[in-house]
Amino acid sequence: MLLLDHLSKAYGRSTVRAVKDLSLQIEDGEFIALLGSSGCGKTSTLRMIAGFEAATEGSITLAGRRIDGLPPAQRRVAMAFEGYALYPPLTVEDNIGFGLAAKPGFDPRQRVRELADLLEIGPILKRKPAGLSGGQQQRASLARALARDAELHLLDEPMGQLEPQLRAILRGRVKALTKARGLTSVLVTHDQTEANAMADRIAVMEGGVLQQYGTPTELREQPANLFVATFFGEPPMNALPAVVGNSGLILDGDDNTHASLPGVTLPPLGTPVVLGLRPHAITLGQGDWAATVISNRWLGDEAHVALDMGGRLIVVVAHHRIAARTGSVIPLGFAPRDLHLFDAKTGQALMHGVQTLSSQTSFTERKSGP
Amino acid sequence: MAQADMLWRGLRGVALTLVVVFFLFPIFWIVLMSFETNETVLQVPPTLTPHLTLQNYVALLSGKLNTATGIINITFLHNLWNSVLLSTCSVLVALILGVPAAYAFARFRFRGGEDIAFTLLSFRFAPPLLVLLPLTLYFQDIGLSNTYVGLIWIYQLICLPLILWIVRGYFEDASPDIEYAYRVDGHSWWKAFTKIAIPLAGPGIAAAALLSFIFAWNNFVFALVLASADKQPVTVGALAFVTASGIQYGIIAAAIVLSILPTLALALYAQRWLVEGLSLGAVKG
Repeated sequence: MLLLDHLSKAYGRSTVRAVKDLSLQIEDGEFIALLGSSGCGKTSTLRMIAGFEAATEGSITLAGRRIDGLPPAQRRVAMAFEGYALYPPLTVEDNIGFGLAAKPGFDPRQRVRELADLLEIGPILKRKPAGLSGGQQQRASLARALARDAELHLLDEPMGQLEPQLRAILRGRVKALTKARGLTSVLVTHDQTEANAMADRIAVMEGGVLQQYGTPTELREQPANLFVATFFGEPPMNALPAVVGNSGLILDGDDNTHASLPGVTLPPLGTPVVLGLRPHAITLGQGDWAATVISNRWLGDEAHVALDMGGRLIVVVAHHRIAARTGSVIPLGFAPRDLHLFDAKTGQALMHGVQTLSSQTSFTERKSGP
Repeated sequence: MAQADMLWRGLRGVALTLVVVFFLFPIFWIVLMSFETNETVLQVPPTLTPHLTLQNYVALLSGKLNTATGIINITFLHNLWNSVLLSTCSVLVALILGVPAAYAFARFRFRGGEDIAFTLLSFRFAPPLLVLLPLTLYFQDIGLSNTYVGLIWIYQLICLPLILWIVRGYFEDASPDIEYAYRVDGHSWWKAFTKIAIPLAGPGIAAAALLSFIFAWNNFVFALVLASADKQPVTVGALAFVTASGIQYGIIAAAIVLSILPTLALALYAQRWLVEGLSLGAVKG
């Protein structure tokens, strides 16, 4: 188990914190992802865990040992580097097997071969890093990290240089391998698809602050704040500023579009809020609102439609073709169970998925479904 | 097309020849002079087919020079030995001090770090004469004047900044991640420094060592002021050939030829190694 307790990092004498008061718990055998844009503090966090940077405040405990004062050599962690960091004079094979000692019942060469097969680098095992492509070096670096018997495996953007198809295949294989061997892993990535596909839990970071730590489903269905709601999910959630009116929400803008939500307990009258609606949650062709189609593209399995509603951009994803031409005005709406409300000032979530009489049925249906 | 090609090649040949003649003619001239007697050197107009002789080399190696005013003792071989000793020891000391310092400046940001590095570089800005007078007085006070230790110490003004700044650049170019990977694999900081950082910066260290060796070897003014005859390197020792009976051009030429041989040999030897190291470095990453 890895425990980060109120971890902070300041560089030099600067008062700006690259990581602010971060507390995380990672169970044995769990695969978690630190997700965020560049400069969000995820790599600083990883480097503090590995021991390349000293934590300014807080503690790191791994498998019951305080490790934040130990040199990297004694932390029992393995790491795949974003910049590969392979040993230049050694072959890929020797890089992967570096420092692995043969024990009864354990043959390092066997493990190297297995990892080479898994990551499809068998043909380059005898070659040196200098002559390899970025993608090959990256897989060699990942294999080297996964070959280690460590308490914790740190993977810093381990697949950034790979082709999309290969990346998709390897995600599943690496995840399966970590589960089969019971490896505790921390993945650092800016790619939410990768985090989604591999991680049991995702820690979303922004500005050095942990925004939310939860399963991919929790992040999608119950985002803790507006940042997570708009960052996580593709295409991003539609965020519509509004104020609470008498019988629903009044959207900001020239036309004062109304979202009537009868029977819903809303925040006090006049509260400024942000209405969050996932592109999948908006239905086209029926509803109280009307908007002008800006673009309508069928991507083979889903339709992406961009609409203009009184100056607001709304993106809708539908699973069937939408017969609407650019420039035409079509109705649209949403079910109250799909809405998210955020405090306009703090961005904190106020409510997720209101249950009304009409949506209650479908809500319970979904719960009891397969 | 073919004609333009020929013309281009011809012009290039001419340009290359000019450059080679410009740089190599003085050396050719010196080598030629070293095999001539002082009389033929000073002959006007010079002969194109001079009578070549080994007498300059014989005089240098035997230590006895016959001139019109009598026999002069030459300490050339001892001077050559002094040069080897001073340059080698200075470079070694500068490597021992400079490489870890360069690593520190490259890897760690610490208070005043840039200022210290720049101060060390600034030794190269100041004219040596600026510091020589106070140094002479200090050295006499603390008993370092006319000692090898004192000279090697002063030679650090030449060698240390060169090594520090060149090697620092090489350390900065190498990604620290390889060292981190090695440390995560269970090795100490010191092991990562000696087994990973230094070999990766090897070509840079070799280049810096070679350069500072040449600079130390060619130094004149420090040794002139701070050393007496028995500690002087060849650069200062050559002054002995400006004798009462005239300037011994032939001897000076022979001395120059002999004194560039060690640096030339070192450069040729290191060049092979440098090219290998640098081409390995060029494709890494």
